[in-house]
Amino acid sequence: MQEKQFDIVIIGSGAGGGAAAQELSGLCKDGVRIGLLEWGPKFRESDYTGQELEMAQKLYFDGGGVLTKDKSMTLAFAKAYGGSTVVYTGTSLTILKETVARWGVPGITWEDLKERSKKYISQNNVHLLEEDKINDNNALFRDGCRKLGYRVEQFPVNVKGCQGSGMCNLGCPNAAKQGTHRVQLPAAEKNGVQVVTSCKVERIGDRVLEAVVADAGVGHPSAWAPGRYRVRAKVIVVAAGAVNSPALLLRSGFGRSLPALGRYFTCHPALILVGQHEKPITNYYGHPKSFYSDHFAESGHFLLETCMYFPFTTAKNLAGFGPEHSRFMSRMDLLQMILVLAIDEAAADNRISVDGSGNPVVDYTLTSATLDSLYESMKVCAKIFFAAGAAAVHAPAGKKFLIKAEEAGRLDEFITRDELKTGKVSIAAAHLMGGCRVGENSAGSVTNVWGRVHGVPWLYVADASLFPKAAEINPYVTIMAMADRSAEDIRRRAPQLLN
Amino acid sequence: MLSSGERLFLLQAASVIVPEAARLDAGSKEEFLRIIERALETRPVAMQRQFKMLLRLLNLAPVFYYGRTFDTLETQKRREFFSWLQGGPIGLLRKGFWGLKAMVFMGYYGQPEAASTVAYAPSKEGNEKLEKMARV
Ligand SMILES: Cc1cc2nc3c(=O)[nH]c(=O)nc-3n(C[C@H](O)[C@H](O)[C@H](O)COP(=O)(O)OP(=O)(O)OC[C@H]3O[C@@H](n4cnc5c(N)ncnc54)[C@H](O)[C@@H]3O)c2cc1C
Ligand code: SF4
Repeated sequence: MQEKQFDIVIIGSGAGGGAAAQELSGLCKDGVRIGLLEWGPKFRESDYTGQELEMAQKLYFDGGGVLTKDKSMTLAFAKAYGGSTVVYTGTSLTILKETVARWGVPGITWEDLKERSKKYISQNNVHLLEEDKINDNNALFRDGCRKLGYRVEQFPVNVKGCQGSGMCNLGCPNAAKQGTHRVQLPAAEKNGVQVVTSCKVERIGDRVLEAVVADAGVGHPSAWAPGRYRVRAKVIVVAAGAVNSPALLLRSGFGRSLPALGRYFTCHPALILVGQHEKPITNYYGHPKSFYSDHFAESGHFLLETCMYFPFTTAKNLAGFGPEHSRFMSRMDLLQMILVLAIDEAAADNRISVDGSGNPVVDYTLTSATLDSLYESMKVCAKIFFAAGAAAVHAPAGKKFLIKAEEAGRLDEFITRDELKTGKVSIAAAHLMGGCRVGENSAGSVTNVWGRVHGVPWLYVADASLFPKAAEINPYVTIMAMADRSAEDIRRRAPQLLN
Repeated sequence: MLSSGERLFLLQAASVIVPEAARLDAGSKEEFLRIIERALETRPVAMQRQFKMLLRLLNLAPVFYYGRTFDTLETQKRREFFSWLQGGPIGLLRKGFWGLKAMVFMGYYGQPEAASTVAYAPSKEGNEKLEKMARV
């Protein structure tokens, strides 16, 4: 086993790890040695081919289909230099004041998160797209919501030179999306942070960790040769994401003193809903996600967003099969899509654990409240599709595959709660949060409000796993803000931690 | 890694789930199976085992309804059986069938050539196309 030494090691390079690396990199000029170990490879520009399956296999854990333990839902998260920011859509929202109040964690204030969010919003070139870059799929959602009197807003997005390829979730082929791989990681490296890709951290001990570098077979080669490494560091920052951070800490034995470790996992369980127009609309040209509606966030606990998916993803998200499914799929140019995100409660029993080999197991039960939200959302979306002029709507919990426009008044009859059965209806999640939640003590949380693990002064968390409850909006900006807090505490305590 | 029985079952299931799959030429059928095999290879070993068990179970289960295994049923009965699995009362079977469907859709719609058959023609320069279409 080869030996390496740093002062600070960060594990993971996504929204959290990238922000932490940048915010700590200022210490390098004082001689502080900082390393960032990332499981995934750094992709070359030519690797972004826009091919659905090829990119899903390259970029995502289990090709984007990580199953929960009871197999009711799949989870999407990426493994790359840049983490899931390589595949996110780049919608950039600041957490709501009401949400932070609901989090109810003394010491975490909305004003503080807002200030920190502002910094990343500015770094990431967040802005609203011009009207001529809005395609029909997005405009129809906006118009449908407005007709019905539903509140609808344009999404600020973090792009620079967007060509409207619609391929955000396959990795941007035009280097336009401003993920941590484009902004914070290069800045950190410029300041002296050493990034080691294709390097999986297996276990953390007392100021030491074990990692394995393997040839990913794609992207740039790792800075270290393939093999096993023991890495010593005075501070370790875990930013491996809401599934892998708790799993890493659990397999390293931290669960013994931290009963909340892995618990209170939330993920905004999501549905892709589809309406069909009579004539072709522009949907796969242009940025895929320009509008959202939080009209039902308080009353129905769900959010609506525009989206446009690729053929395989679309096919598997429709309930049904056979001739009518095929006919529907055969005209993707007629399809309008809405993504529903349920706002799920943080429950102690929804948790990450590890199997006998130390691999994560996501033990998540969809509550009846979440299923109720998803059910209500189907009827709301059907109304939006019809208000936007759709000829037919596919509701996964529909009594029939397609509900026609002339049947729009009979939604309660055709979309019924008892048809919303797990397995029949495809549910997926990409906003993974919690598992190392912040809080006041080790009985109900894993870290203090600065991301420092209770009782372990040299160990920090800096990613989505810190969330005490769901973000209730697209979370990446808030993840960066939370990681920013962890980095600030490390900087503040540097004299004591690093000597 | 898939046995000949498993390959046969997947092709038979595919022609019910995506009827066009029955008309794929030999090369595309091979590609369909290769995509599924490759996806399975990258999944955890336990999941690979479960998927193979699922295929075996789904081939045998129709015996209880029709007195015959799936591979000997006519298309209409196969469709009925799948409809029952999808909407039926047993959660595990519904989820298992969803897994089968997902693999079949992956093998079929995951082939780059499928895009042209579903009126899907994305471009790296989508905004340019959008602009042209707005002008027409
Ligand atoms: C398809 C998709 C679309 C999305 N769109 C949006 C959006 O538009 N707006 C928004 O706000 N959010 C969006 N999100 C969510 C957002 O991308 C994530 O919430 C965010 O990136 C999570 O940040 P993170 O740092 O917690 O984890 P990640 O970004 O997932 O990064 C974790 C990193 O840690 C690495 N890692 C894991 N384990 C180890 C280990 N043992 N050793 C070394 N490295 C390890 C992983 O490889 C990964 O690179 C989207 C997510 C997806 C999947
Ligand atoms: S739509 Fe824009 S940001 Fe998204 S992948 Fe295409 S060019 Fe990149």
